[in-house]
Amino acid sequence: MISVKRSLGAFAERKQYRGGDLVESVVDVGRPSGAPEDKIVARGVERYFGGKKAQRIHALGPLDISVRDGEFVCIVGPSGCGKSTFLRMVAGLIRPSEGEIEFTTRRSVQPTAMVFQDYSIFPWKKVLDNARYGLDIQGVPRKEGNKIALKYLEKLGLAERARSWPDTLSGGMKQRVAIARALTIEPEILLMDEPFAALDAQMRQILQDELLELWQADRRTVLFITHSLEEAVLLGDRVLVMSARPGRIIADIEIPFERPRRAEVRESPEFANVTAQLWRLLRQEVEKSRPTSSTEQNVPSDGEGEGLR
Amino acid sequence: MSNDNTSLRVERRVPRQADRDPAGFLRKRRIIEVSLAIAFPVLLLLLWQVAGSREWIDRRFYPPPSDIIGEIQRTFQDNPKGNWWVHIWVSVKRMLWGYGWGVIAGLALGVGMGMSRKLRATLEPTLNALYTVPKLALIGIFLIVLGFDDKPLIAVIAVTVFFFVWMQSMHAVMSVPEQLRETARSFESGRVQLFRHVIFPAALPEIFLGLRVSAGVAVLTLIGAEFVYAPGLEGIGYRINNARTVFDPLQAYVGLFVAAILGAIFVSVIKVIGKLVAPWASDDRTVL
Repeated sequence: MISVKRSLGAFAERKQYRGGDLVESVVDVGRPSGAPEDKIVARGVERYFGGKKAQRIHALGPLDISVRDGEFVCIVGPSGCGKSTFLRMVAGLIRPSEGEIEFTTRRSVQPTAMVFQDYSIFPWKKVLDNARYGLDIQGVPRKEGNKIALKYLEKLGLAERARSWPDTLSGGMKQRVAIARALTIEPEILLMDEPFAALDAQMRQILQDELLELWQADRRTVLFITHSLEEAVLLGDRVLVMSARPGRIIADIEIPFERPRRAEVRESPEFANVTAQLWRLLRQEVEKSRPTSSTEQNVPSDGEGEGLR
Repeated sequence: MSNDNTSLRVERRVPRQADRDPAGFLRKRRIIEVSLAIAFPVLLLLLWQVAGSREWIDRRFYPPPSDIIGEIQRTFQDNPKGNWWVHIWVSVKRMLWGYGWGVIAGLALGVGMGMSRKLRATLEPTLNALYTVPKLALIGIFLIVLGFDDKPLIAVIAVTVFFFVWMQSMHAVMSVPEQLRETARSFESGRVQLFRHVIFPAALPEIFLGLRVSAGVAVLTLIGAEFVYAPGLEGIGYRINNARTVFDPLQAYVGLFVAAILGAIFVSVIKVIGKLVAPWASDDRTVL
């Protein structure tokens, strides 16, 4: 990590190279500009895709979101509403076209970690090496890294498979490895982009329960994208509902179930009520996005956007 | 949790210029890429020119580009050393015939072997063994069998092209995803329909990759074979070889230039045809 201190004083601007991408950040020795309990604050965030004006697609925004420290926030919305794009912006994979995302962090190393939907486990690294990846990148000595990685693999019931090749694992196990890999760097903010979407329904439920328990043990800030309303209600402290493209927040719903929550909450009548309420909100948005769904393929999720990194 | 303000950092993800003005960014990037693509060969030519005109390298063996351009102009305007167009035409004819036969045979066997296990079991070991036989060495045999005209040349090109097309199209057919085959079979498509509606179109983009590669190979083989054997003392390869024997390096460079242009045109023609017949295939993003 190269860092150049431009100026000293209350604000020292700093440019860092992290993973090859320039991350502009401001070192703030005073207070963050939002409320003190806010971890992530997005202000007026918008994103366009496509180069030429006429072909530009307004993918999302303007978005104003704030997430408190230690909060589990789920985002639901129709396909193509830009919820994944928002997550990628928080992760620093792409930039907003307008506005800014600000977060406070207590550390100088990578504050966020991301769990992707699928295909994110490197097939040429064994399970333990996959789980240790983030630590390797940070230059943590291998021995120490193995210890930490193993600790998290254990938490996810994968300790015995540490020496296996990923190809010998089931889909559910692969996603567990992905979660373990994200957790080993002990990120302040965990970003999850439909992490269970590629799993079958039963495996999905099992992993939801595991994540619920895991999170309630250490309560780090989580941003969780999902298509499943049940998943959002089960896991989230709060559910943000996004509109059809361009995605905006149309509802911000506090989930009434207390913590620690148990998986059995699924069976309560209130759970069904909350889910139904969410569905009513979302339904018209899903239908709204249908006639334009033929243009969905024009949204380059990484093609054009990639070039603008 | 966030009381310890002294160690708190605030990070901001903000747009860069490229995010605010993507059109401008893409335009600028394209300009840069095109300039680089042009600048590199131009730089090489300049270096060559300087090295030649300053006599860092022997001008008789390595005439600088300016000499070659002059020679090309003279050659094609006044035909002082025989009409090049005749040679080009003769060579193109040989190449097209050879390429055509090679493609037909390669496609037939490649697709057939891709679809039939039995055919593959029968032919694959033999073809694999023949694949490594140097094709130019066959020219003597072809001369005896086919007689002293263009046929041996055409045969050598065809055989060379055949192996490239065969291998690539067999691989293309075999790697059509099972899911697509099963979809077609679930509608009770017969073998022919399966081929027509699914396997052939699915394999087409990769087949065209093979056709493109072998188009270049056809030019290479043509020139090489004409070095060895040129009926009627005609052909681009013959001219290059002849220039060498009479110590006329400039004419040899003219020949190389002609061969390069011919190859570039031929390969791009195949590429364009491929784009027309398989418009769904993703574009390889070449700059120029």
